[in-house]
Amino acid sequence: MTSRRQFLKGSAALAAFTILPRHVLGGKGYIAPSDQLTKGIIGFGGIGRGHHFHMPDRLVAVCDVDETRLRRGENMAKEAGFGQVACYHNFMDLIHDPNVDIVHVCTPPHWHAIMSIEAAKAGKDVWCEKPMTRTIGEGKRVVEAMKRYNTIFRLNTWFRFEDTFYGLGTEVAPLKKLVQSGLLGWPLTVTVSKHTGFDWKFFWVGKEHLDPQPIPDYFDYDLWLGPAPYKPYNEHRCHDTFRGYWDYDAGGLGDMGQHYLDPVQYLLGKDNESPIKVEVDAPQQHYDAAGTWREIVYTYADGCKIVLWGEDFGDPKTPYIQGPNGNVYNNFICDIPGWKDKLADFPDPLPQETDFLECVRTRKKFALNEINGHRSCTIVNMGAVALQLGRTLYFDSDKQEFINDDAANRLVYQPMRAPWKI
Amino acid sequence: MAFLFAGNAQAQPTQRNAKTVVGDALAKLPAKDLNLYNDLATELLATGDEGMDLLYNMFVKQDDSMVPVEHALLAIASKATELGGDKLADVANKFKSFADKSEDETIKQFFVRELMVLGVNYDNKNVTTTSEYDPGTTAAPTIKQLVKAIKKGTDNVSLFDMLNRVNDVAAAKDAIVKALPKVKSNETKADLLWWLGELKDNSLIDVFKGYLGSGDSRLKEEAAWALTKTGDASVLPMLANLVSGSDSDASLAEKCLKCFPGKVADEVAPYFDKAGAAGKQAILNLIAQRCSKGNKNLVQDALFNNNADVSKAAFAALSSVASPADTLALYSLLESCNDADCESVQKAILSAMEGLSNAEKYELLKNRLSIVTPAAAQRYWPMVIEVANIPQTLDIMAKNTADADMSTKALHAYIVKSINAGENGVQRLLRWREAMNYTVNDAQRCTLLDRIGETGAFQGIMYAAKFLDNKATEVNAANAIRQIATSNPNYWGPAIVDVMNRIKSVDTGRDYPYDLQRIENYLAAVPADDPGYVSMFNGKDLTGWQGMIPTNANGEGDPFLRAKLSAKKLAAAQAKADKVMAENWVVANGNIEFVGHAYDNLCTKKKYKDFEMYLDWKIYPGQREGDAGIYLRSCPQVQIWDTARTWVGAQVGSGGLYNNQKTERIPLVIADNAVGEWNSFYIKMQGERVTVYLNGKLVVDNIVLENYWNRDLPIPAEEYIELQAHGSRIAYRDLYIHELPSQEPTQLTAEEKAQGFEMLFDGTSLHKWHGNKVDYNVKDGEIAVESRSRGGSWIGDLYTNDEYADFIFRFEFKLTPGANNGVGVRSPGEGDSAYVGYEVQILDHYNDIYKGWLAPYQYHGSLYGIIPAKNRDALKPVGEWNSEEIYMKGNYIRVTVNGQVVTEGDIAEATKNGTIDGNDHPGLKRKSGYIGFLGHGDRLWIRNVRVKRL
Repeated sequence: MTSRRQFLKGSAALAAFTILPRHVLGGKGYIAPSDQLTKGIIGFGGIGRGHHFHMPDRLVAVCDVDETRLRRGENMAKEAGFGQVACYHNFMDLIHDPNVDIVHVCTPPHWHAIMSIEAAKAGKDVWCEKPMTRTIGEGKRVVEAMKRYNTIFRLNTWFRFEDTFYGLGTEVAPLKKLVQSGLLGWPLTVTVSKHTGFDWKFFWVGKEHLDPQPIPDYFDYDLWLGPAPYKPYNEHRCHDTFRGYWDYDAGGLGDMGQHYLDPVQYLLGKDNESPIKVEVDAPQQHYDAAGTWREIVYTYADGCKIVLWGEDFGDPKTPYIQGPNGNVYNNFICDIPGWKDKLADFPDPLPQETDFLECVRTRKKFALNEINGHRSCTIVNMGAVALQLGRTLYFDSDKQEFINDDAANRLVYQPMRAPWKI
Repeated sequence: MAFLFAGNAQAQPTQRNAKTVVGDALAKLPAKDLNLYNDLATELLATGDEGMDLLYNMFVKQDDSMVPVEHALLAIASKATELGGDKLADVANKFKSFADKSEDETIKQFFVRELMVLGVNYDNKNVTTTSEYDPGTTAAPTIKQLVKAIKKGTDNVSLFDMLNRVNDVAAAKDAIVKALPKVKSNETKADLLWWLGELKDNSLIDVFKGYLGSGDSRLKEEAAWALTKTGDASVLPMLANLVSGSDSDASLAEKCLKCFPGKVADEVAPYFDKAGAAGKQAILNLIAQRCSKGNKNLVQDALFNNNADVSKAAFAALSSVASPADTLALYSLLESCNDADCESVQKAILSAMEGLSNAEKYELLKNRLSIVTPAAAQRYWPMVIEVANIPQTLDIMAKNTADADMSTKALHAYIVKSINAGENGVQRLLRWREAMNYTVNDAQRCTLLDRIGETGAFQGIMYAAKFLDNKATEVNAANAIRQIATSNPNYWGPAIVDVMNRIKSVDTGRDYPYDLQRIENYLAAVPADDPGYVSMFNGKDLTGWQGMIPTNANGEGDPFLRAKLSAKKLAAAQAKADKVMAENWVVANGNIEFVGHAYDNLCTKKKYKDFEMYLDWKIYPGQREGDAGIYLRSCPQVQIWDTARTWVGAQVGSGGLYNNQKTERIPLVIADNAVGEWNSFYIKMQGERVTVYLNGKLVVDNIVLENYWNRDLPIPAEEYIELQAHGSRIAYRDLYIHELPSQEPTQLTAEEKAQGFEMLFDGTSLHKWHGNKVDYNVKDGEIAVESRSRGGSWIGDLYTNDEYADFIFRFEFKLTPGANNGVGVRSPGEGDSAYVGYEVQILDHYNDIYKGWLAPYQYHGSLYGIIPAKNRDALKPVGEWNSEEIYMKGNYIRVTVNGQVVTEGDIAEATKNGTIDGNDHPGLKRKSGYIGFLGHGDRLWIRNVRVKRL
């Protein structure tokens, strides 16, 4: 199972000692194809076709339960210069394709845990789209499995190490430097709302009571549902609108939550713990269709808070980070007098491992992996559970379960439809 | 059934029956807030089987009520899980039975899902099967296996895979530290160092230290990072020492030290002389990162280092160490340095000025600029542009017309600053037009035209049209025109329609077909029966304008006196006035400009009733008395003045109705641009009320313009618009007017006229009334009484100007549901007329809110508290107009509503044994007083108000 990994590790080491970074050589094809890492993409919806031909790895297989999308994937691979790729209907076939090194999971979230774990079992490394898993319980299983099968796992959001994120107008590194300097004091409150530059995308709401529709002949609905409860087919459940349904995702919170909250978790240094309390202010949620909300507030054991505001809720003048000694607003505007000079005395944040393919070769953990990825996804999923139950919940950060709350914990460990299990 | 439920309710007075609870809950679900949700859920759960059965039976119908029903069932399930115990079991059993008997798959799914939440594993193969998790067993390697693998020289991938799974990290650490020296492969050693480094363990410093001097660069690298991660102060000298080593050591040290706490710059600075070029750069970079001002001399000395890279690093560090005292030295440096270092020095100068305001920085730089050579000046302009305010930035653009690059730089800064200032579209249009004067090429013009399109400002359309003639700007102009017009369908007029037709043929590129469609849509929506905005100025001469005829010794033009002139005298006076006009008013620079020194207004030839208009104006600078204005219907005026003239009160800003005495004359905000800059008016006149926007800001909000010539009369219904001359030079441009349909005054019938009735409100003006003229608002020929609360429900009253003793008062009114008002008669004009005078009640007494408690003397038409209305059916339903007559002579009163007498009686007779409401009515003694409408904060409409004295 590790033979291909070992082989690649050797060639990477060689490349490293020539001290010629790959980007200097540039261009596709400078590594012999046999030395190049290969990947297979499962799910050719918006994410799968969107932005994943850019990595310097080689696409060798695609998979989709929708025949039209599978053909689209095949054609796009050709256009991108990968030639004929293997096409699979069933993801298990892609995972067990010996030519595939990395499995890229681009399906709706209800499949993420199963596919990641199955890929790990098959000795593949995993690139998984956000949100990492649909339930906290599934996330715990992924963490266990990645350790058990020695898998390099990347959860795909990136704002904790690059890019200005959304309306905030700054990269995370200077913010991290300021937060870890202690100039703002402690504990901190981080507000993620329209006012601080984040749109919760409430257009991802589901429709209540979908009328059954005939299943298109090119679409394997049963396999699309997989572990999700069986419900009569309606096109709004699937493809580009699935985020509106609790069975597969969690509306705008599920879509953008991990993008917005993972950098916050990094800033607050909470990669190994979870909030102990979640409060929600929202209209009553439908059991099937995810709705909108006004406010979700998370509290950590040390008093740090993360506040999410939907739409226009809350005071527009609220800073992104509030601390006892100062605040930081969008575009990195800090209200501590002379903060620039004060901050210069402090060190930069430590560098992070941000080259996934390098991590696959060296087996170092990627900067955003199954462990901290699971923690930031837990923030999202805690919110989803609290929304569905419509009440304040208390969470045990170590056990990763709600405290004395069976109803909430049943949403932590949700059953899967046979034959799927993890 | 009713009886049974009643009995039940008696036994448990606080408990409502299941049907009521469910009905109430369905009306409120899905709940909009959590408290309500909790209450409803608790109530629903308490209804038990009965409530759940009711809900299930509604649910299976799958009709429109399905959504609240579903939410009700969810609320029950949610509450049950919260409470647990028997309640949970009951609900779970019930839901299971529902799941069993549901035939419809959607319904079944609903219960199956809820059963999951309720903790019931519902086994139904047709629908859903659940499976247990398989947590598996994690085979963690033992320490023994690990050590064996290390010693054996196992490949790194396998080793890491083991390390990732190891359970006892502390034991693994000790084992690795012990085994490390014996590991043969340097790569494995390096990987192990990395693994140890991740532990951030101070006790390992000695282990790592040993590898810092390794000849293997990867080992050295991992050791350095492992040391860095400890953050321990004892590490700092070790890492600092590296900067004087090889180039790769120095660069490694720099990377690590950037992430290291403490006085890093001071620690590395002493190595500067000893260090190689890479080391020197590393030291300079670290000094820059830590803004280490104490090492300024080191940076200065390094500026002219023989090594170009070191010198460059020193220049880059300048801005981090510069302080105010260095400014002069930095100026010299800027003037003498290489082009490549210019930017660094500019940054350093601005950094040295940190703490000063932009205005102060601007002054300092301008001073310097005035004494340097033109060549050196080029190095200052980028800084000046950065700190300049908006007009200053424009000034820089104007001064750099010879240098297209600098001019464009200034233009872009000007645009960014204007947009960041958050100014409105009208104001931005003025800014872009101003900048257009200083453009040096078509690219700049196109940039500005693109911005003009974004303003959405009316005046942008015809302005942009001027750029259609140039091929290079044609497309941008067409885009701007289309963008403004199509997003503002209320902008139309003959000239705009012409321009829109013209740009149909301009190929705007990729979106041309869509653009064309937008234009067609716009043109199709232009009203056929209303010409829209018509230009009042042809740009060439004063066609359409005439001189104002002075009618008194002050040279004022009173339209009432003018109207008395004979035709012959009028013609002579007009000829004379036109002659004066020709001397004092000119068309210059494409504007209408007043260049005289007198007070002769420029007057339209056409008379206007109601209208809305746009025009721009500018006061020329350098005059002692910058003053002008726009006369509406020949009455002064919408004020224009130089706000610096505080001795006449001009600090309040322009746009106000300056000559008002009773109604508001001060603008809501000061919206003036500086003297010498253009300003933009939007003026709307409807009836006697005026609304003014100055530079996109509301300054007059629907205020009555008083009749300056005779304040007892309303403003004329139709007269000239005049541009005021006030002895100072002023320019007007882009005048467009849109005539609006106006309200014709209501006339007395011939019969009432003959009987001697007087019109008190004819639909146009409240000039025969006093009191609250804000909430009693003339609109569409009616008095619209605004619904407003002023610390209670009282909004103040509206009274006639005259007092009436015996009279017939007639009016029409229309109510909103439950509306309350009243007609005060023989009122003192203040206080509560119902008691200190008399009040004839106005009330929508049909409304449910009054059911069951209204006293007889409170129904519509009653003389409040004194004589009750006998007829309660005369009032028409809400939303229909009613006519009413109040006849009062001596003690006799008669109220007639819609032709039916509702109240009639003798006041003395009715009060001989005291009033029926038992209250004191001091007003009973009054024989005369004002008639008024008494506000109770409710919305209603009143029209056609007449009175006749008896």
